[in-house]
Amino acid sequence: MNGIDRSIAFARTRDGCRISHFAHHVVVDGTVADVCACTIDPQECDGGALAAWARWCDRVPIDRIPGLMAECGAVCEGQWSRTYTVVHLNGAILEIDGESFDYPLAAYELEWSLRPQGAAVVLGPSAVLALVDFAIDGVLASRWPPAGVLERLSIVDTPHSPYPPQHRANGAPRPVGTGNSGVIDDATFLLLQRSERWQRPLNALYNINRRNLSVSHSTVAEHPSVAVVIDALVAEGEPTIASSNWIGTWHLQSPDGRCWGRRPFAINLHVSELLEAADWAVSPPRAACICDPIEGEIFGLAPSLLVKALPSATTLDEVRS
Amino acid sequence: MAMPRACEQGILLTVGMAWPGGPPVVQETRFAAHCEGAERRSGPPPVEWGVPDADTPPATPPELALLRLKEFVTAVGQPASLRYSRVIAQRWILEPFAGWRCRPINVFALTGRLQLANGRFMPVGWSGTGDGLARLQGGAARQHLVRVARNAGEANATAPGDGPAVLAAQPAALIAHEAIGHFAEASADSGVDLRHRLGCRLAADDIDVLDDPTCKAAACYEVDDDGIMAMGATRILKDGVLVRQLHGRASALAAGDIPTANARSSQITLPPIPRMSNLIVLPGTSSFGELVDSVGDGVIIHHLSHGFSRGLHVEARIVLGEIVATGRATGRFFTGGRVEERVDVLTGCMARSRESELNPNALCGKHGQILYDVGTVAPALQLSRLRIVG
Repeated sequence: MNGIDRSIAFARTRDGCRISHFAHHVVVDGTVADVCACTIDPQECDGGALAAWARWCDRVPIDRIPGLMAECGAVCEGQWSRTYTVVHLNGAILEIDGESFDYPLAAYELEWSLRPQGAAVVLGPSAVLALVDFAIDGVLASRWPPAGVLERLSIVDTPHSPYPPQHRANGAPRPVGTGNSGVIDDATFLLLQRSERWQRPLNALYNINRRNLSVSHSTVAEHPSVAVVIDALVAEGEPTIASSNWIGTWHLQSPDGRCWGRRPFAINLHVSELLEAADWAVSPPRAACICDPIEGEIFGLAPSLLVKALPSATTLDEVRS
Repeated sequence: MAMPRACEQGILLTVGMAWPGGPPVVQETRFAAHCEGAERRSGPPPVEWGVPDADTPPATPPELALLRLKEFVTAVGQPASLRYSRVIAQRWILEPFAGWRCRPINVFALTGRLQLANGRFMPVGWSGTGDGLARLQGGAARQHLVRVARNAGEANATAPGDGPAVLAAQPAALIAHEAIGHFAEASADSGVDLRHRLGCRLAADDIDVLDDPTCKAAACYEVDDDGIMAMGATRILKDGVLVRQLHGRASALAAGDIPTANARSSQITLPPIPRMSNLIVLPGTSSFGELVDSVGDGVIIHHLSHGFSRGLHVEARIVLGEIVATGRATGRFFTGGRVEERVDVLTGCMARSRESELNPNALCGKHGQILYDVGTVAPALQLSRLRIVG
């Protein structure tokens, strides 16, 4: 039996000026759910959202600021309640609840051509999550995982989420691809996942039913001292395991510190080949987010992966606007 | 000027059947929400707003939906994981001059997948206005689905290539939706000016395309989500050239144009953005057989899914295609791979069939908002070339 009695309220801003609010109360009792009025005033979260946005605005190059999103909110369920703050940059999670991750803290930029030759390539958590999510939806055969694709990764469908409004403490993880038995969970989950969009049909566009993805890799290595970190990837097409086009953003990590990459790059790749080339996890699974143009934001957990060498079929070009 | 206000109240019914095993699932979600400007909240609107009362259409009985879904799965005869979604709601929009305007929401979607004989998945996507239960019970769309599933289950893998093709009505509608419909929509951000697209040639010079929210195809509404009354069809493509854009109130104001009643939101808690309603590609004069005959050596695309457009790029997954040799369909089917094209792919349209069909899948996602009722009515199209990738 599903039982949820949860209030969610948040304020979010993308420009440090205009704030959108949302507040609702979700009650699920078996097969009946209500989305009704919430007693929490989301305007109380305005200050937190604006402060978080301003904090990162000064650290991000001006060209990237349109991708900066800060959200501050509150989640209450019974006696339990918590507030949260999430800041992401086109999906790269910069901060959750005051904990910052490994991103540059100043707005300096580096030209792609000036990156150190021989720098290792690391896929950041949001890039990994985007690639895995894309590959899952791109697999058309009934057996999951198909031979040779994503075999080295552990990919779990879990009720736990780094994004508090859609986190559920109860419920068991399960392997991806067996989601057919969990339709009740999915229906409930969707009321929590980006819950301001509850009217959309469930999993309308994709093949595999799932909740939050949690990705891990069993082989761990030290983070290379000099690395180009691909912090976010956005697919330019529909999911496929054939070659696909992506737009990525990057930053450089070196002993001298971290520095944002000046322009995005266009990359053509086979998702499975690129993930197979990612041999080591160089961080534990961390909060990640995909900015999907159709589904909206999809949160999950994924490690940073070190790519030993880009697959030969991969092409990578700087985007010049 | 007062902040725009809107509210809605209704029910989302979800009925799911999963393969293998697992009991069928029914969930009813009642919802109420209101917004004033960017302030979006759940719950009924404040009494002082003075929203009129209106009768909500009767909700679909869950047991009836489940029965029809079971009958559908039996008739299709393939292992299936499917969900039936149904939204019934009353939406009210405060129009500055006309006062409260009612916009009933009455839509359904059938989504999921079939497992085919060759172990592949075939996506299922039907949607539109009404409860859709009659479609589940039988009719041409169900027959088409069964035929496509049977043939795709025995089909070979798609071979990449670039050559002449016939798009049957469903793939023609999907490509027109992606290449013409989305290109004609004004930007969701009214600060982004897309007027430079006007005058672009998107199709052959005898093709006209309309958008009509009043034609009772997949979408059917009298007022859009800005409260603008729909007055009939907007001709967006004339002689193959983009002549009008689809606007909501804000985008029209920014572009110095008039709204075309195309402001649509998937639910009232999300801002309306310019979206198609029913896209209508006007038919031609040929029979389907004549189109195939004219192709010579090429392909027929019988069914596409997962259409996608971004900028000038359009693509879709091939669910079922067929080899054409010396102007005859060969019965040699293929599946998998994609069509990858530019938005002007229909400039290579040589002829159109005289019968048009409504694409049974009217789901459309954009900016995180999925609408159930974005229709496309199109005839089969003969193209001088189509790019297929593996």
